[in-house]
Amino acid sequence: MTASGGINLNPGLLDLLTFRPDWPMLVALLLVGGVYFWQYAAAHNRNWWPAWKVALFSLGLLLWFLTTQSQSNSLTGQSMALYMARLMMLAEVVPPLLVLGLPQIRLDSRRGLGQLLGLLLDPWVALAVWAAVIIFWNIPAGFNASVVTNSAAQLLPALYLISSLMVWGVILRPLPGVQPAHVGSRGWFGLLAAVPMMTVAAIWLYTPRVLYTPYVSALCLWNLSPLQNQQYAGWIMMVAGLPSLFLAFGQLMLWLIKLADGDSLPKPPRS
Amino acid sequence: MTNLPAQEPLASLQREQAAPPVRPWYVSAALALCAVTLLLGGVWMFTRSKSPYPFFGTSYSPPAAAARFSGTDDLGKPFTFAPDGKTTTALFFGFTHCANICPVSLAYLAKVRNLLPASERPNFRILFVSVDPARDTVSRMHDYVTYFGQATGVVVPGDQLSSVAQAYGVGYQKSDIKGPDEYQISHTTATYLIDSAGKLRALWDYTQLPQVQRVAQDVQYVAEHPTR
Repeated sequence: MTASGGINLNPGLLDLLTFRPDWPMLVALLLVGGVYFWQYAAAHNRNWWPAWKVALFSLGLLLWFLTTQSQSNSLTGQSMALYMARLMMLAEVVPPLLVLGLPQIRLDSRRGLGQLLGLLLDPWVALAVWAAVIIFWNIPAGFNASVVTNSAAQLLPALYLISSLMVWGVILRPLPGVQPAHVGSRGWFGLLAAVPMMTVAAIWLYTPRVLYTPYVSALCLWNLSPLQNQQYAGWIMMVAGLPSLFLAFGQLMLWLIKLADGDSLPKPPRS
Repeated sequence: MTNLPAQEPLASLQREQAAPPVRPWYVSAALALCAVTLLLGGVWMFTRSKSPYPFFGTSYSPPAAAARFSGTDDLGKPFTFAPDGKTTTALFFGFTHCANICPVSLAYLAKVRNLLPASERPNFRILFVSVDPARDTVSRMHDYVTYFGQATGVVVPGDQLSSVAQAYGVGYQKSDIKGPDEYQISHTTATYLIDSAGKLRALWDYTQLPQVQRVAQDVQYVAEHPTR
């Protein structure tokens, strides 16, 4: 028997990238891209909106499109590595590209959009939402299984993207007019967000048995065993998490240098 | 959103972009609690809007027509799967040389059946379709399904099996091959819940089956609320 039923177990790159629309996500993507390029076209001063920002934002949109609008989405049940690659793309690659692509924007932190973004980019709020998404959908024990299983396929990619955008928004601070966090607190925040992920990645990489129940006896793509899949998933998670970890260390170093230089010390009162 | 005008001097920018005051930690913590409550409440409302009944398994929304198929049952009689207006079905694909997932799934499904009210049990059937028609003979199927539970075993001819599997999104592949008749089969492990009108209503992964009480509640709901 060579048949594999209704699933292509040896998909190539073209099979994985075949267009398979997720309509709500596609509409969101087009709206975000449309608003960005409309504003760019209307901008008078390109000094505040350089081409490299547009390039980064466009790359973010392209990767967002490939991650959510392709055949690979339907195969993640057969590959933990593919599942993790998709998750990391939405959590660790697309969000920083989109955030770095934002221009200098003047917002009033006391009203409207500025006030809302000030709330969403509060480090406590961002970390709580991100942790809730990770914990609620990945550690099912004790939570509402019906809600978890029946929202995972449609909502989870959007939730990963939004919560990770919030986290990266705190780390990179694209809107200093509404974000009070200084470089030291952002460094601690980044470390707090990155270390648990790197710990999970290391466990997956070195543990000798399959830990994630749905993949224990899964029919796997590319003739990989479930354990190999878990190890690849660990590698993917670790590599994807390194930039944010390095950035957090960099921010902490910068903060320490500033402390050493006395920049953060209280200034003596002027006489 | 406005980008900055060209003539605006840097000093002005720095003044206007001055960071707002830091919130007290307890205000931030309260906001975080509100955000998580809103998030989880919103997700709960989303799932309820899709299906008023909180299925333990993953629900089909809207319910999809379950593919019909024909084969031979474990008593050697011709079998056709088609809605009859009264029978709710749990459909599982497996093979009789399977030593772990298939027998465990059959055993749990038998427990689910036993949890149903006595009056509803005759209208709930468990179908076990072989993904190994080359080795799963009628007698072997009969011995297997009666030993591990109360299912009806069905052997679909090899040339039709692939299209049936495709219709349900089932995958299977030979593995650990030691000889022409000595091998294992890796396969997907979902159990499909089909109502008496022939519509797919939910699926459970095999890791969900041990929670037999909740699985039985899904079955009972679907038995009482078939699609029209």
